[in-house]
Amino acid sequence: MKDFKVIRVDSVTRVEGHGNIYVRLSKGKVRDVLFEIPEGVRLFETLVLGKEAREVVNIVPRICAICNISHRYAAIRALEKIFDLKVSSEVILLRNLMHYGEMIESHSLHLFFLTLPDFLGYPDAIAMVEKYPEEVNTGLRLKKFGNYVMETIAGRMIHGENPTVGGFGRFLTKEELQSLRDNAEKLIPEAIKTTELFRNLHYSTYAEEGMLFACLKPPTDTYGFWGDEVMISNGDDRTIEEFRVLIKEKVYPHSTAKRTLYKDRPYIVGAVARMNLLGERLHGAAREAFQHSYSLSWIRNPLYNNLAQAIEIVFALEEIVKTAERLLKVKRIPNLLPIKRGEGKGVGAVEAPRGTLFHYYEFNEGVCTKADLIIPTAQNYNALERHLRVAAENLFSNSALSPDKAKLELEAIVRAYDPCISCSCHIVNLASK
Amino acid sequence: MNLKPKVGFYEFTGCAGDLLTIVHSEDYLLDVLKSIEVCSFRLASSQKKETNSPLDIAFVEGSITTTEQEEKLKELRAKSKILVALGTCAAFGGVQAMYSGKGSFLKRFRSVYDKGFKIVQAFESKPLDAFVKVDYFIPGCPISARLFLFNLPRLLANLPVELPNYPVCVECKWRENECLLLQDIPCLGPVTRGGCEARCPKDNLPCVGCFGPVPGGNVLSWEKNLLEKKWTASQLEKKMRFFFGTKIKEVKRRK
Repeated sequence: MKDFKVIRVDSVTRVEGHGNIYVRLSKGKVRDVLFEIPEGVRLFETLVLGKEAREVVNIVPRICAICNISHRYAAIRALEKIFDLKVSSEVILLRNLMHYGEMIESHSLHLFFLTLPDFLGYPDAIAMVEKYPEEVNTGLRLKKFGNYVMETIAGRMIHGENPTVGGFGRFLTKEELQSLRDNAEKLIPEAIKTTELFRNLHYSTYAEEGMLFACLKPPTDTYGFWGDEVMISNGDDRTIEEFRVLIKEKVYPHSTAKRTLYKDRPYIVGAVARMNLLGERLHGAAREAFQHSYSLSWIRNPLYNNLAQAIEIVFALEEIVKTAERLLKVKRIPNLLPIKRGEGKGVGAVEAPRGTLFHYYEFNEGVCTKADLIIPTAQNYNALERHLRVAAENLFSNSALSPDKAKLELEAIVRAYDPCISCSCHIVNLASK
Repeated sequence: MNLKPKVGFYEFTGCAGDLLTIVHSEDYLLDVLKSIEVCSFRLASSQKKETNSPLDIAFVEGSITTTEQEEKLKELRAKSKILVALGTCAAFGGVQAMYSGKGSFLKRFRSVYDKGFKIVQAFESKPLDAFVKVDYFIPGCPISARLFLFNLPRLLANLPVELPNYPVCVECKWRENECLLLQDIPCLGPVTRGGCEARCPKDNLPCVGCFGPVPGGNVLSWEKNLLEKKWTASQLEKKMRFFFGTKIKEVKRRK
C-alpha cells in the first residue's frame, strides 16, 4: 500500500467563487482535510477608508453579487448607528421587502441551479430540463421574482444604489407595491411544492456531527433576518458588539485562511441555523412546511441547509404579501434623511442568505477610518472543514465506494453550506501549494 | 457534428455579478444556451470540458490580481478567437483598482493580513488588457443584460461589439429626470459611459460611474462646475476612482 494519497477537487463547480477540497490519506486513514480558497485579493477594508457614509455604501455591495443587498443593508445599519439616524417604520418595511427578495433570489439560485443537479445526478440545471422541466421552470420563476423584487426596490438586480444611508432615493409607487404583492402570492404554491421536492430527496449521512448554531435574534417574537443580538444554540444571547469581539478571526498554522470560532467551537450560520433557532416562530404555510420537515438530523447534517432554504422561500413570499399590504396603506412617503458630519463607531448586522453578516466601521470627521467585515463563509469555514473531515473518514473507510462518488459527496457538502467565496474577501489562501 | 460556436465563461477576481447577470436573464437564458456550445461555465455547471481546444469566444469577468491568474488569462487568450472583457473589473480593474498608480498595495495588504501571510503572488488589481490583447469590452458594475444580449448575436455573426458612445446624461434626459448637478450633487453622469438607462439618477441618486469613462467626456468642464460649488478636486477624483480603475490616468490627462 502506498504511504499516502492525496485526493483533490480543484475549483469546486457550481459555487460562487473558487474553492478546492484537499484530502490527504495515509495508510488508509484520513490525515488532513482542507478547504482551500485561492481567490484573488481585493482588500475591501482598505477601499472604504477616507470615504463618506454613502460612498461606503456604493463600494461594499461589490463584495458579492449574490448577496449585495445584505452587504448594503449591514453597512447601512452600522452607519445609521454611527450617524444617529432613525429611519421611519415605512423605510424599515421596504428594507425588509428588498431583503426578502434577495433571500428568494439567492436561495432559488442555490437550490435549483447549484444544488439540485447533485441530487438528481446531472452536471447542471440545463441538462435537467428534458427530464425535469417543471422543476427547472419553478426555479427560474422563483429566481426571476426575487430579482424583480430587488430590481424594483434597489433600482437594479445587482448593485442597485437606491437603498442608502437614511432611507431610499426613491420610494415605491402603489402600482409597484401591488405588483410585488400579487406576484408573491401567486408563487406561494410553487414554493410549497419546492419544500416537498427537497423534503423527498435522499440526504446522505456521511457528514453527521452536531454543531453549534448562531443567528440574529429578531427584535420581535417573529422569524426574521436582522437584529442587534445574536442567539447561540448553547443558550447564550450576545449583543452584536460582544459577539463580533468574541469570534475574532483567528489564523491557523495549517492554513492561512481567516476563520472564526465561538468559545473555541466551530459554529454554523445560515438558513439551517435560523430554522434550528427560530423555526418555532414561523406562521402560515412556512410553519406547516417546517413542521412536516424538521427532525433532529437538522442539528447534525449540513445537507438540511437545503431544505431550510426551501422553507425560507415560502416564509419570504408570505412576508412580501403582508409587508406590501402594510406599505400600500402608507399615506406619507418618507424622505431621504440628510447626514450630518459625524464620528464614532458602530456594528451593523443582518442575516445574509448564507448566514450572519457583520459590518463594523469607525468614522472621524465624516470619513471612514477603519472597517472590519465578518462574512458568513468565514464563520462557517471551521464547521465546513469539520464536516468534510467526518465525511471523508466515513467515505474513505468504505472501500466499496469509488473515489469519484466520494468526491461528489464531498462537493455536495461544500455546496450545501452555500459558500460565497467572493464574499470571503479576506479569507485568502495565498501561501498554500 | 456540432457546428455551434464554442463559448466559454470565465471569472477572475470580482463578485461574479457579470456572469450572474447572464444567469439572471431568465427569459433569454435557455435561448442563449441553445445558440452556443458552452465549453466552460464553472459558476453554473460541472461539465468538465475544459481543454486546450480552441474557443470561438471567451467571456472573461474579473480583474487580474495574482500571477496564477495572469498565466491562466494568457492560456485563455492563446486558445480564443475573440476575447471579451465582461464588466468593469475586467475592463478597468474594478473597485479594487481604485488606488491604481498610487503604489499603496503592499501597505494596504499588510493592514489586512498579518505578517504570517506571504504575498506569494498577489499584486494591485489590473484589467485584462494590462496582460493580453482584449478584442472587446462590455462595461458595467454589473454589465447590463440588455447590452450583453444585444451584443452576443453580433459577436456570433462576426460583428464588432457596439456600445453607447455617449454619457449617462443622454439616457437621463430620455427619462426626463431632473439634473442632479443643478442641485450641486456630484453626479458622474457627464463623464460616464451610458448603457445603464440612468438607473441611479432615476432614483434621485448621483451616478457613481460604474460603466467607466465615456470616450471624450468633458472632465474639465464637469470638474470646473463642481469646484465652483463646495467640492474639492481631491473629492471629485476620489469619486471617479471608484470605477474608472487604471483608466483614471487617461481621464486625468484630458484635463
